[in-house]
Amino acid sequence: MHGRRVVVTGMGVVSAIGQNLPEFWESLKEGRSGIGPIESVDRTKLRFSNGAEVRSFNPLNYFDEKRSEMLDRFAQFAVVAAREAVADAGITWTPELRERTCVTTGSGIGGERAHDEGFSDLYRENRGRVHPLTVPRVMPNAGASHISMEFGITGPVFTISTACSSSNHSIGNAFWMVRNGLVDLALTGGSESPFTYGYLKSWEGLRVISSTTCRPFSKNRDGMILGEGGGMLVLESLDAARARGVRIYGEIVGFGMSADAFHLTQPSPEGASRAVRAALHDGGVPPEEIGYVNAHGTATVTNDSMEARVIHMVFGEHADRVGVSSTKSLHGHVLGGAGAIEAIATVLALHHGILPPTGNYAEPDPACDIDVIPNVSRAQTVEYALSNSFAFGGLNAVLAFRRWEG
Amino acid sequence: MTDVLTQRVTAIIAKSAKRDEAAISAETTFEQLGLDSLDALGVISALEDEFNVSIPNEEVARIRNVGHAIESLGKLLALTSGGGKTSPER
Repeated sequence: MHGRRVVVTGMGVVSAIGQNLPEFWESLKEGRSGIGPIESVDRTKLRFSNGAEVRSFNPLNYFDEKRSEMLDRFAQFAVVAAREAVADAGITWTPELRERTCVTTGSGIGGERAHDEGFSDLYRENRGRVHPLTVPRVMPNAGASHISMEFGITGPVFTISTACSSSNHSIGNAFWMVRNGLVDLALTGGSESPFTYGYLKSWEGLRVISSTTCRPFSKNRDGMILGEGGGMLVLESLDAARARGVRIYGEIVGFGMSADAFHLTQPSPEGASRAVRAALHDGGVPPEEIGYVNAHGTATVTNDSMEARVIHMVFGEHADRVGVSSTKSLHGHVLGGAGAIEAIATVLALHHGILPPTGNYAEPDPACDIDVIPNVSRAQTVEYALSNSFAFGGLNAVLAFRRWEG
Repeated sequence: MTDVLTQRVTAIIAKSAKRDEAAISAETTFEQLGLDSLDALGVISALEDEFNVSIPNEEVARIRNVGHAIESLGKLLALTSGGGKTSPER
């Protein structure tokens, strides 16, 4: 390990299982799923019916009309989550701090809804124009930019787009910037809002979406359930957190990355293992210290058996003692926002000493011979945990966290 | 009808795989044609377009060779010509 120790002092989340941190955690603890019939798109036109939407989310509860016009839904999620995280961390902004703060977000597709509506007007309605704000609504960095403007943050601000690994890449880079002293505070996470007819049809074509529900690691799993939402974390140096006397949720200790260089959509256990090992190495964490893994766990036939292999490859004999759950079973696969929501779940698990379950687990699969914490959360104090993201295009990003005592 | 179906399916698969139709039989697997899982999705999509049907995921998972594709389409087309509705609508 090198550089400053970095801790998590605030978190904010909008998801299908809770539109704030306390609600989100309650749902995780209870194993309560937010998966249900898709409401925002005509599901009779789709081969699948279910999704994990953020229901009854009214942007006007958070933004005035003028501001809400500028923000696609994915950016709204990012800003709302950022507000909660900043308030949660009790930050007092000064001009100096604003310059020494970074904002990093992850998003796979940016303002997909604005894109879809604008182009639908053009191609289908034959309107001669799209909304003049379409470009800034659609750009994947919109979340980060609006957060930066809202809080007056003038340090490094950027967005990483690596499909399902976007948020982990974003959080990992923010962690490194705080660790190496480039910034003193990081507001980091990601968001996604994928529920448009065109985009859902695109996923339909890949044939990896479940026609029922998300059953990670279960023998009868039949694919993913898409989700939406956003998550943001506040990271700062341990010294700064102590000086402020702020409550510390946990410590972020490692970040690992790798590429499979294998296949556009099929994952590789060798590639994924490299990222897991890299995270452990970066944090100086011996594998046998890991007690919990928040899995990528999309519930596709391919990912889950691959990920179970990775657990065995990395942990060897210790694999039996690692609890592995996929919270995607509850909040869906939020794509570019997945890593952020799952990092928050992982930190909360360490903080509360309760490991969230893999929901909808029905039938053990010999190819997924791991402890999946089936259906019911487990009270267990764990010292170190990992959160995995393994994206299309073979891009892997893994975060390592440590429980904070006291 | 069966001959025409076989011919049309074979033509589409041959075009996707860039192979000679004469070299393709019912037993020819997608793997033998050099089609990986992503290529296979393209072939299925082209078949859906050609026959104006929607092939369900479970059915697609079973299609490993040309013969399976012909069988699946035969079943779906029998459903539609019998007045049944394939879902979802295109």
